[in-house]
Amino acid sequence: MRLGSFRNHSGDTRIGVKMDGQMADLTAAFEKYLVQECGVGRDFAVEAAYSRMPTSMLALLRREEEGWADLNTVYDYLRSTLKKDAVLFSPTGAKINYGLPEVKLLTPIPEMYRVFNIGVNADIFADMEGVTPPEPGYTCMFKKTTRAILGPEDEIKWPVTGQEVASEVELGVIMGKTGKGISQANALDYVFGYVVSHDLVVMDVLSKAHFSGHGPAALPGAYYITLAKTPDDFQPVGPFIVTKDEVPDCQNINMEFRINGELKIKGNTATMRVPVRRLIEFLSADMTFLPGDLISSGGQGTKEYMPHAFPVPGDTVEAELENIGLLRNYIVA
Amino acid sequence: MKVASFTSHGGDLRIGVKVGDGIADLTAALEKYLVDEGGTDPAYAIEVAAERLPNSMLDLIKREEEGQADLRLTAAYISRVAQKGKTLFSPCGDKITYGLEEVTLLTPVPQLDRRIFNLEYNYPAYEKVYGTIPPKDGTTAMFMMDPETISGPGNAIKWPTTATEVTSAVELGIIVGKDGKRIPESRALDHVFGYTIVNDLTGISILRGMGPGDLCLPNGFYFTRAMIMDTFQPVGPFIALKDEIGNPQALKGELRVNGKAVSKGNTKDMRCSVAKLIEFLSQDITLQAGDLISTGAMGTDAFPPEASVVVGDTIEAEITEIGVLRNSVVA
Repeated sequence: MRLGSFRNHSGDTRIGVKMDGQMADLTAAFEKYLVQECGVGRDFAVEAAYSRMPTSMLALLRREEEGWADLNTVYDYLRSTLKKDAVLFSPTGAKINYGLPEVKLLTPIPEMYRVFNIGVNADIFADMEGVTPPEPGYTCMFKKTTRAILGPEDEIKWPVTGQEVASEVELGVIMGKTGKGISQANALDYVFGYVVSHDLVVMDVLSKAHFSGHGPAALPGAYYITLAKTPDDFQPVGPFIVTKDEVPDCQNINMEFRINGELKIKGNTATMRVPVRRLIEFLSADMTFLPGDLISSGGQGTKEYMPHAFPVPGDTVEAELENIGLLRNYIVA
Repeated sequence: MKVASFTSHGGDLRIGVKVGDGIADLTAALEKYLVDEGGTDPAYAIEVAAERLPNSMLDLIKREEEGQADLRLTAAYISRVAQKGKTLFSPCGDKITYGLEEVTLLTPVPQLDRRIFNLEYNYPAYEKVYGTIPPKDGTTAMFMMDPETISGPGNAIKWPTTATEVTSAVELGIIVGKDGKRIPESRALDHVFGYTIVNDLTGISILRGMGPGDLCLPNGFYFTRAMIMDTFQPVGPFIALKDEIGNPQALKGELRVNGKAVSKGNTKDMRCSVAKLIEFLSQDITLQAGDLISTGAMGTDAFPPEASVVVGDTIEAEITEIGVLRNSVVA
């Protein structure tokens, strides 16, 4: 399933699933399902639909297994009833299917609760910046504010703390289950799905502080990593969450990043120093994960197409993960 | 004025103001004020009171200036009508005045939908005592914590599984009272709601020696990881509103482990003052009402900023004019 949040014609925020080039409103569809397939009364069906298939993606994810079961139910129902060229309505008159141009796609979890970003998670970083890599199985983690999260096609505003900005394309992992002390073996049970994450950083904030190099001089760079990474708008995420059942191997996903159509970064999640399973184990040892948490797993790249690209105001930037999605944004002054 | 979140015998979450040795329920007090002094209908007063002084401290802080005006009004009223030894009730029967022993104080902003910015190396003692490379002038190190890292006064700090050594530190916490971006130092204090006490715990062994040498950078990678552990940031018990604090750069801090003073400091020694920190952070980040900024571990050469703690220890973090925050470390 490709799940997203969108704003409909009346300006309401809704959740939906992408099917056959259309966006189907999950709450309205669930209401119709309850009335038509389960014989539930209309008024009760509206109430039940809003509580079991809420219009907030975070609230749905917080329902964990029960939300997942309801999602599958409504998805199966939609597959049997949704047709091209026929607009469906719920029993109380809510429109169910929209053409994609009819809606404004938002970041899939607009109420994003927590964001954990992983840094230096490819050996190529050591080559590129002369950074001493973290120890095996360990990696750099810092948090971003949720104010940094941005949706597809939204504008990224140029910062004032620096004039050199770098972009990275990353696999975003959306957690689906509360957990602590999670082992690598069970880690993927806690994943709900995957998303494209575009991680921006103000390079001058880091480089002025001598992030690269060895020895004590390199340390102060780490002091500013959160600050450099978390300006408002500095993490577009979206457009859809692809549920994990559609991703056979999260460690073999091709990624690209383009500026004004020109290929700048190329990579594959296979080069992650610390893979998704171990990231979840490493982070959850003393910290509780909650459904809806985002782990942005770190930029990848190759020698030819390094993990950093440098956009400037006026640029159109595209981050793409194979079979996950394409996330387009615009840099503005 | 000092405000807190608490639960009473009924178990409901309330917000209160410290009055003498006790605490007064702010929502119930406003309800009484509206009826007794404003002639408002009691049924309407209860609704208005819940909206103007909601039981969520975060919602109150998000009302910015209007919420603070209602706070001042209600606190002035209650201190005028409260009498020692007499319990006051609101017109609809809610208890207003409590002895401190009758309530459980929570962390003052228990709501989760907020951000926590932890600043580090903001006192010169770090360089002198530990040889830490100081941040550049006019800046500090900053990391973000989670609401889940926060615990309240009296709550247990749980020993982690990934650290063998844990340190504790006393820090002045700023509660932001007004949204803002690119706030100049000269207007920064307008964005402060009040001040509180933070006990910042770190799984210091995860950082494995912050001193010089080739390994120091990888250690820097783990700052967030070492501090963001569940229960690792007790905050409270009260927020002293900014008008209660004469000068935020003249507050003494002390950390005691099992009654013994281990860290001591004074906010006059901060490398970046409260106002400068707000300017520094808000350049590209929008600060939001309800945010907590923890201003860095306080210390001196003789009483350094970080103190080791072990399971079984009782920790007291104290800042003059604000209060004492007590917690224990458990396995």
